[in-house]
Amino acid sequence: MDPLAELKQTFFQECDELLGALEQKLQALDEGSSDPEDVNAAFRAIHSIKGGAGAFGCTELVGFAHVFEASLDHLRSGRVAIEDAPFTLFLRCSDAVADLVSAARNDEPATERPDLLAALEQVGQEPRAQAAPAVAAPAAATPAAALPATSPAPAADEAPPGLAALGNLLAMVEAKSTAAPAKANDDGWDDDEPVAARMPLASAAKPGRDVRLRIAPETDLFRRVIEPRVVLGSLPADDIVAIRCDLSKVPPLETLDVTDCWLRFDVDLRTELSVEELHGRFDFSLANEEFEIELSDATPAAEPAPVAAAPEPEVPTSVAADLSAILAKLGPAPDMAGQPDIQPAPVPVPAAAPAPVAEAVPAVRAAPRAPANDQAAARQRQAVSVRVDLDRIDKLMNLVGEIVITQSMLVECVRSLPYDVYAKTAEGILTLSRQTRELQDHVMAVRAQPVKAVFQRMPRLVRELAQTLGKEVRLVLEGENTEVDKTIIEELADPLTHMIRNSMDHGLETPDERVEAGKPREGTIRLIAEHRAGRIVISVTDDGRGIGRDRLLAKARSRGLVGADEKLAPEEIDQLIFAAGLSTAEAVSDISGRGVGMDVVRRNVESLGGRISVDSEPGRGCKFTLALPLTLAVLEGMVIRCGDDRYVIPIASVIETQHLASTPIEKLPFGQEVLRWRGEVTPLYRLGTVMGSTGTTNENIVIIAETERGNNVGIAVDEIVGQQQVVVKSLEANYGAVNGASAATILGDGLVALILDIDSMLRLAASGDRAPLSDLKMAG
Amino acid sequence: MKILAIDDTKTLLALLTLTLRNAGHEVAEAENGEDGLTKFEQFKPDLVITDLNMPVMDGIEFTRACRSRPLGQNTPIIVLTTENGAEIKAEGRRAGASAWMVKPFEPNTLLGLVARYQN
Repeated sequence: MDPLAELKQTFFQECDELLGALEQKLQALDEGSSDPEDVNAAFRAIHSIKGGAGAFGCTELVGFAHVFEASLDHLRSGRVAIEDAPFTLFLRCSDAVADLVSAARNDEPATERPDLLAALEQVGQEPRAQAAPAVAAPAAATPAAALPATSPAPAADEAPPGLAALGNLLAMVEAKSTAAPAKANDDGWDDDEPVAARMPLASAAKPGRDVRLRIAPETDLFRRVIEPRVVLGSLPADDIVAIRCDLSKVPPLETLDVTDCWLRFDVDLRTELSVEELHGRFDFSLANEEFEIELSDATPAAEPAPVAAAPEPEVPTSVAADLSAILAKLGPAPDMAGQPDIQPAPVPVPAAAPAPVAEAVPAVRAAPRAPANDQAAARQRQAVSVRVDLDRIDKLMNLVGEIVITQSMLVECVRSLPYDVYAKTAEGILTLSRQTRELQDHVMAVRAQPVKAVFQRMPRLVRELAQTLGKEVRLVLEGENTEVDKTIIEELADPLTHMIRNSMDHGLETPDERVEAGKPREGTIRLIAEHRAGRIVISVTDDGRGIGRDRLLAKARSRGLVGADEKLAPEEIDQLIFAAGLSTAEAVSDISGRGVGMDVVRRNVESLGGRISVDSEPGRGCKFTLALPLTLAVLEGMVIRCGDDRYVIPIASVIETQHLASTPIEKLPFGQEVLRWRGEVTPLYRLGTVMGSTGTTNENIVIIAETERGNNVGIAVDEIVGQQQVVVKSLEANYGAVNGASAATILGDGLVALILDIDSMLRLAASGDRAPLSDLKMAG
Repeated sequence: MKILAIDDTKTLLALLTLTLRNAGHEVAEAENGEDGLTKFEQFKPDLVITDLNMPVMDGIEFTRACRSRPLGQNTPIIVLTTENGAEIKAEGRRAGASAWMVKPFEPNTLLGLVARYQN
């Protein structure tokens, strides 16, 4: 990719971050934060987006961002109180900016938002409306027209020459142009006039009018590190007729502070630049008070150079000084050398004489640049931030996985060695395993990201849906900084979107219905992420009407998913929401309700070794819980044996282990075994029986494990073999789904072991007498 | 010429650096004013180009801080920003900024301005 395209990509990535920050800050402010730093951060975000957009020629984006920025500036400056600010509007605008960014990214035409611009324009306008009625002109549709009247923004800022800049940059990057920088068009952000179009010399024949500039800098000019030659150099060299230096203000040497500037300059110009344009030239360094522009009469100057001929009664103190001597003291000035007309006023210099100098300058400058270019490019490649393809990290991760396996094989091998050899080797192996672990942690850390990246997209979804559905919704985010592997992050967006849509569409009632039911008009959706049992658990909770079980069951029966006389527990009915082709929405809407949502979500989640479940309380609300592994790559596991088979239980699920013999076990009437663990009745499952292990089982150990819902279960196994990191190998990809297991691994001796999924195992155990529903679940 | 470029927007910073490096300048980057001061001491630039609106320490504060240090009293500081108000410019001037340039910058214009500070 060429550097510019790459930069542009980076810019868009950065935009995503900035948009996230913008939205987050606006949201915080909307919810009552009055922290000025939130305002500043929001302002900075839109400001940076605007800046970048300008550089890449995204004109629409710049236009919109500019108006938006101006509105936020009212808050920043205190012209509009934070409490009075229309954050709902700002949030919608931040959505619009996101749209513009994505349009620019995809090279699509941008949708204009005259409505939002007009609304933005009104921000901070009310107080002025009386004072200056003209300001409150009808809302204009174009960004430029919508500029707040208070902001003295020049034309350039309204319509940035973005495309021109882009074109120039392209030319520069591609051709690595070595041409001397434009010497005259220095401050020309409002001036795209090509230098070549100018006349080579200011002369009587030159079109334009005569202008006299009186430059009287403040004495602190030098302390601002501005040299007079820099000031003068900002004028078009070819327009300069004469420059005179006035030394009359310079104090006597004994009292002169050399850091003070006492120089005054008069510059005669013959130029086509307007007064405003001339202002623009100096604007970058001189304050308005520091220079004066006098238009001479339209009379064309008879002689261009010998200014001394012209009487100067208006500057009686003017001293014709040897400017080049002054300039020499101030330091060498290549640019000024190229200007033929700088001279001691009384001594006319032949116009031809300086010409060779002018040519020599760019030549000298160009020479060392060519080799420097390669070095510069090399340096650049180093310095630009390191972005790594996920693909490469994946390869690294895979390799680490292989090392983990090799290392556990080594451990097995070493065990069979004679003791003296073993003792020596063991130490090395121990170090190796520690280092492998560290390596793995570091690689994992590279891939870990907070779920914020996904969570941040949700407020917008909620806002838009709320508008479409005519509902009032508050979204509460918690645990945004919960970190999870990159691979998982990418898989989260889809199910989350579905879950939230479902809650918004089916769960929450309309404001009127809510009031009738005695609830606040505004519904609340909580999106919470947390780590639990070695998984990331994300829940979406709404305070809506809950699942309509009667309708759901009726529908399931009519579809033949549930037998006519089959009895289902309320919780089981709720789970039907994940069955294919079921939707109870009265009207099929664009948002959800086509019945192709939750079953697909569930399939996708399960293929990742995750699970989605729903808890509903009629009239009170509904909670979707999504549990996914933290990573799809490695797992810390307890290796156990049942009969001839070995299994791995994710260590994060294990609470404690104890001897079965010392544990009193009771049998419930329908055959379920339970044990008392820390005073709680805890169901006990015999793993060999549930999983159908081969060989004879002889259970000695109970492992107390935690399920995703936070319940405890006891799992009886024959033996604990050890604890180790295992590399997760997908069963679906290599073999086929196995109930009760989320994946498989290869142990040190090269044999395969199943990685148990406690929740799935419990379902398998329970499915023995509830075949129809479990079939449905598996199918769904 | 050794130029210190300060901008909190990574893209713009990269673009600025690219522009300057392609013109043969040696560039050090900083992401805010505070970072800029550190880099200033290490890199000892001939010229500084700084953004205005930045977290931690903004461009004005940076300029002020720079001017109060012996090393920073003779280094031109160009403010490169989207801000264009008279007030903020005056504040920049008071802080000791040498030049003011409005974003988005046109590469040749910027290089021209930079070249004028080149001895």
